[in-house]
Amino acid sequence: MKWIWQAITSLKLTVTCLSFSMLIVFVGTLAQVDQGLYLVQDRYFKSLFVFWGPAGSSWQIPVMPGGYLVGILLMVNLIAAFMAKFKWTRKKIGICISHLGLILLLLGQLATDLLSRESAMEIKEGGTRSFSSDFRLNELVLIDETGPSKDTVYAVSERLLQSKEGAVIANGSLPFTLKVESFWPNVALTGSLEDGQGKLKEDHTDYQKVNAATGFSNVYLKPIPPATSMDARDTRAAVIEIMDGNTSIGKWFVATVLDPQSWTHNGKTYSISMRAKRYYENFSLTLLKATHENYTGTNEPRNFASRVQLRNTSTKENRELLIYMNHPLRYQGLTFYQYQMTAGEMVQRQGLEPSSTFQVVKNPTWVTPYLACIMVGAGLTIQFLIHLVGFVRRRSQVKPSI
Amino acid sequence: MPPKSFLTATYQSKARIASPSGQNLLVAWMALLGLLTFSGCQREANIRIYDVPKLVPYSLPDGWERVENTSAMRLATFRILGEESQSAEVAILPMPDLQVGDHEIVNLWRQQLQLDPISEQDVTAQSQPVQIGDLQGRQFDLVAPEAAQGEISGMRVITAFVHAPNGTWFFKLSGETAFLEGQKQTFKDFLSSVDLNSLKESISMLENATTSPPVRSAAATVNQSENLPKWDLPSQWIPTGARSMILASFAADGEGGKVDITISRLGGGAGGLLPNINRWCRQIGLDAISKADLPMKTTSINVDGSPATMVFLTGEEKGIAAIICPREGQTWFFKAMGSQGAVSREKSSFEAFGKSIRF
Repeated sequence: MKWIWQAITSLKLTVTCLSFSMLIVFVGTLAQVDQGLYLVQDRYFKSLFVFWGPAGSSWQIPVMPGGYLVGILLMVNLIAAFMAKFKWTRKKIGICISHLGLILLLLGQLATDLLSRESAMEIKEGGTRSFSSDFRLNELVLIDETGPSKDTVYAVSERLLQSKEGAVIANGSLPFTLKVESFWPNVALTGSLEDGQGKLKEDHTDYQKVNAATGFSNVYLKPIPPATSMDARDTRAAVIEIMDGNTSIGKWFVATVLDPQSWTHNGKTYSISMRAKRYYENFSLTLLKATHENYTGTNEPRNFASRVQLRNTSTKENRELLIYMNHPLRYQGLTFYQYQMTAGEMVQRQGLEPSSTFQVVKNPTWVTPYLACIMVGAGLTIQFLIHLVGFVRRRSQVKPSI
Repeated sequence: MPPKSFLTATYQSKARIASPSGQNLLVAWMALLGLLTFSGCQREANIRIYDVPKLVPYSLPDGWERVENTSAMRLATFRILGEESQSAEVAILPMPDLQVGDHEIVNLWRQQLQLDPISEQDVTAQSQPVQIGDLQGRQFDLVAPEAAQGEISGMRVITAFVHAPNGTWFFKLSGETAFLEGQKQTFKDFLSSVDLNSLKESISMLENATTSPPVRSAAATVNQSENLPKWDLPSQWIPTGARSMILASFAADGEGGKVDITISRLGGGAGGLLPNINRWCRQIGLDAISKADLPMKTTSINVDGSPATMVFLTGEEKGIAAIICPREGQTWFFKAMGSQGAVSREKSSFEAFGKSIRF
């Protein structure tokens, strides 16, 4: 035990962790060129180990620690060394505050990673929305649409779907048993293997026909690697067999680019679809006007602004407000940033419907980095002043020799 | 002796073993970290169950049927069928950025009915207050003169509009004068039931509108449903799903552009063959045809033993190929619409599709 304790309190571990953290940032930044931001975040920063394997092979080996492992080791090392080696005296109060600030910074970042979320709310002009859609996560939704005033949504995470490929999801809270016949993380879909000239596409052998039992008799899909561009989104797809007990009701092909499909069973109307994970709020935003202005004679944007009506029936709020660049709406722990816009003269000329998209950020621990930086700064200042005052006092007590 | 720098003071050269309570505290810290990390891995709930209030944009009166919009400006269109084959139409038109005055709009409608324009004061005098959702709007009752030309003769239009925070909304009831008299109160009740705040969003949701998917849905059950006929689908047609009034739809892309194929079904005679063909003529910029022109513009086709009519219309830019098939008290519409070249390209496939239909 003693050697373990010495290891986790050692300064060598601190230096090693800091070196690895720099390495992860360097390698991860380079990897973004090919793998894109989100994939790199998952593989390099939100992981215990970074894995590597030859292209095309199914096996992978850990080649370096991931961001989670380095962060956890660094914090354990910091706390352990702090407890083992630090002497609590009034003269070291600044060091104490600085270290607590560092711990808060590390913990805050971990909490941000675990608790924060980012989603998008797209509203067409004149339209109203009370939900936002996750940028990356998707879900299979089974909706009971029978009720006159409300729909009951049964949302199954894509992670569960992927882990249950070829297996059955039987859960007492679901109205049906779901058999995940196939699951694809990203696919390309087409209605024909011909290229329009009557010839087969070059990559036609990569396509497989969607199970005709789903009703998609002429749709082909090709599994493709995850999207790396920030603007692109993977097309998740699955073939789901729905069973009432042991009796099969039917098979459905679902994909994030397809509309919901409805059916009736035992007098109830259901729909099934694969869609971006939704976060519903207890208030709504109506887009009254989307404004996109350029500097005269140029295509340089001068102003993006969205005039919205916020309605909250529980608080009886009904007010108009403006969201524009660098002036987000902060409401109920959410921040609505002006993100994308389809508006302006060009859009009008193309006959498109003006719309505005807000980036919706929920980060309950947003204050921790500010607090941590203040603590570190204050601690260093206090420690400096303690030493400065002591130094000046000692200088004043020394009689100058003549 | 100079003071130690605070950095060197932080870590003593010789490690001091922490007390047992210190070690326990560290173990607690590590457990907390492990718990946080573990919870991070599990933070996405596997199954979520929640209720979502339905968006109810309006209370649809009995006898009203949602039909396909005949203009891109329309948000929704409803058809009212009378017991004696009369029909009327209700359209909802949103104008989020209206730049013209109320009297100009009213005069535009008057012009459509071949009525003389009136002054702004007269427009105000002729308007009637009407409740539209939770706002007060204005209503106008316009009747075309008997001497008006073509289909306009005897037509009546009851329009209402309201300036809401999310734009100006127009509601237009049009049809034969006598038939509309009995629909006035129903129209008024419909206007008061409208939820202007959620109207656009909820109607869009009803249509399952998506922004720009490469492939839209094929309702799996539509092809399997016993209520729909079977057919042999041309290989280049991609299923694009069912919508509120569309039982099934397909898209065919290729040289010349995209063709949208829709299948719908209406009760009774659905207004008759000639009015439907003339409606399509208007959609693609052609003049209306007379009853005498019908044999030249249409061909007979046999759809699973039922006599049906096939029509092929080409305007300067757009074209429509359609099969109208009355069967068992209902009328089936199989319609392909797109650019003139694209519809010509799909004509033979459409005809083969029509002949393959099995009820």
